[in-house]
Amino acid sequence: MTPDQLVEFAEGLGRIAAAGGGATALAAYLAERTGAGVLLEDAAWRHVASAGARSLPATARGAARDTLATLPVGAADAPSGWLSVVAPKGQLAGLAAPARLCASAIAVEWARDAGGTRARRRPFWEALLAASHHDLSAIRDDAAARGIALAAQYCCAVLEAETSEGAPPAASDLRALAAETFRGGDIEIGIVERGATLVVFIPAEREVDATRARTAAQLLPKSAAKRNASLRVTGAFVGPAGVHELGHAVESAESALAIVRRMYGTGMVCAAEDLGAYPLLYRGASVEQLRAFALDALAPLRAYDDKQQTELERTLRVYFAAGQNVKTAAAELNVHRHTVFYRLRQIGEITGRALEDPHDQLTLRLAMAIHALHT
Amino acid sequence: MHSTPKGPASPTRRDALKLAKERNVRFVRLVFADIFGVSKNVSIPASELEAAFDGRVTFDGGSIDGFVRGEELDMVLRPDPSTFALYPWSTPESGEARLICDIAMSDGSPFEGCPRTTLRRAVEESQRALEGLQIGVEAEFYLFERDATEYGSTRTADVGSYFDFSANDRGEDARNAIVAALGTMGIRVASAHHEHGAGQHEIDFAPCDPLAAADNVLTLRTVAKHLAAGFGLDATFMPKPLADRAGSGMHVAFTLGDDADEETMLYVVGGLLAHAPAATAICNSTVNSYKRLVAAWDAPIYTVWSERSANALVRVPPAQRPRHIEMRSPDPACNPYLALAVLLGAATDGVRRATLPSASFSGSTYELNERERREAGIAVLPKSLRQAIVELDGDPVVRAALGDHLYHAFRDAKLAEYESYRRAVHPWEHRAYLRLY
Repeated sequence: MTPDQLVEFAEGLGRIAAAGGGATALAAYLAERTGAGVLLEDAAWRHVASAGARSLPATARGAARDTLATLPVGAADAPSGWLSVVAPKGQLAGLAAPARLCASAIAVEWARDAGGTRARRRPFWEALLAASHHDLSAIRDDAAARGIALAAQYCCAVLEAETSEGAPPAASDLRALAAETFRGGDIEIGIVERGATLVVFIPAEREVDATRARTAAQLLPKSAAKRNASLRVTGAFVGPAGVHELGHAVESAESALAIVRRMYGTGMVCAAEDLGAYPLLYRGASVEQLRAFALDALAPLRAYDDKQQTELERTLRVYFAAGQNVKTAAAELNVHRHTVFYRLRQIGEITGRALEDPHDQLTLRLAMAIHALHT
Repeated sequence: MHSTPKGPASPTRRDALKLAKERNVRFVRLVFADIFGVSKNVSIPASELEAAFDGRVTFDGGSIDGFVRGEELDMVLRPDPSTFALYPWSTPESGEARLICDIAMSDGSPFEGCPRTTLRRAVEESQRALEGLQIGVEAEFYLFERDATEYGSTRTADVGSYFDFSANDRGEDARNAIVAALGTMGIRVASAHHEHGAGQHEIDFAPCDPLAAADNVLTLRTVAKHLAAGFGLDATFMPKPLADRAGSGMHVAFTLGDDADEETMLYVVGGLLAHAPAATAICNSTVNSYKRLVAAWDAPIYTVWSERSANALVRVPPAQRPRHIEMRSPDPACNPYLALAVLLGAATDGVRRATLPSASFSGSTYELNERERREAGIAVLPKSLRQAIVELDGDPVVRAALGDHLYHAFRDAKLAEYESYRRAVHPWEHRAYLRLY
């Protein structure tokens, strides 16, 4: 294109953007004016739009480079998407300038969309947290009015970040990290800032969504450190709850976060259900709550014993009573010590708790003590 | 048990020429794989070896399945000097060596339909995400009594099972000869043993770079067939030769680099599971493959990962360093270059997109019911080649790993294969219906 043609092309992009044509229309305009095939993908190389008559690869990632050129949409180090043009060999160089202009226009469109959407949706999550909706139908109406597709259940993560110098990082850093970590799926996540704490609601329609969210939360401190070595993220995660129960879920997550900070230090995200006995000790508990805790902690062992006719619960009790001396426990159980070692390994696998870990050991010891005292 | 052996340095072009001269090589087979992973070759006299290295040996690509396009008939073989090896059956008189080749167009540009080039590209693309990755392949196969019938027999020479010693077992003798022969070709075998089925054996290669791992499978199939014949046996890598015995799998173990952390391991598992249904078309590429992927003999049928379950699709032994991830669905009839290319593509995509897997599973996956699978995000592997192709069509990552040319060529060929199978009347149908109706 000549400089005059380029100016005219840029004006065309401006007219489309002003008319609210959006990214798809901008990509189609590039295809129409250049005769190239145009493929627009998001930051994760997922298809957004395509235009032009030329045959396009399913994704530009990894496609042969002699007939295809790919540009980042937005900042090159953190693009919000990818714009690719496909043209015969030798014609690509001539398309570089209009493609760059188009990528810039799309970047502006996307940034504007994201900002507007965020501003419109934030109050919903804040109201949800403050429990200011009357009932579930009010929650659904408010969500629908703001264009939010609600999931039936959400997991909740509360996160805090600090730098190695002790200063809090920019809130936007933690928000961007959370948005990237918990992205995916058709239903968007909710993010609310509460002072230095970021509350994230992650949709969990199925068990697998909750599992993935929990793993992602636990990996978050490491991914944060990879991005910025001085960043330390600490947090807590609570499993799926209905939309109307999210206020309570956030309370649980916040008290879990306090426990994490005191018992484990900073730089890790723990699931509340992995904190074992600590929530009881932190908040205090009724006898009923203690019984429920003990039942819950020992349930997998009992179910296994019942099904397989084993005596793993007894083995654990004897092992603790013997001061964790395998030889004494073996004599008491009248089995070889290798059998005790084998059973202890089984107990670890079945309960998901490592007997050599002092936190896990406390949970099991306390569960057994509560069982002895209150049943 | 896996280690990372440091073998001798691979031959360079100069080494290969020198070795050919020293070992009195008379003929060199320039070996390449077609899209089905079947070994093809062009034999040249040793005097033409230099010309071959210069890219001056051409062949008619139009006569190879899956290579055909009107203007692509003349193709160039580009030998990889690191694969130079004398065949174990080579004598001073026959002087026969081989070189595995990439395929290029007559203008020197890489041929999009070359499986080895496709894997080479996948390796390059995975390097940043999976630095230091090595692949260990465990291939199973049957050794049957050789006879003169058209398709060969399925009678076995032994009645052994897992890890058995079998006295006077020609199968075991043949397996030992195969392992020794691979050793003389510079291929490191970590272990070999009798497998579950009578007549079934397994050879485990030591971890190596992905290209060499695929070359090893190609070599194993050639060497096993050649040497087994000397023992009066036929080696077959058909995935399920007998309905009532275990099928033959080809487990592919990813050994991650020393720096790989828990996060990377999870993303690799996530990528492998997410793309497993589409990768099945490539990793289980025959209609017979799907008779192995049933709920029996610990064959995987669901996209599940586990530290211990014997029938999970992906197995990750706990606390092993370096991290070791075993993909259990591929079978030894696959094209090893394409299978590794799509598995690398899936694993790399997992790392790039930070794809997390569902929770790891313990116990037998066969007991999972539909509700449990749905909740846990577990997919069912395709039950037929036709279903697998539908999955392949819908997965841009696996398709991108193959490239457009290979995707279409492979798809067309496999649809034709499936259609031919669908139209055939099988002995089972005669048994079930002939007298009944």
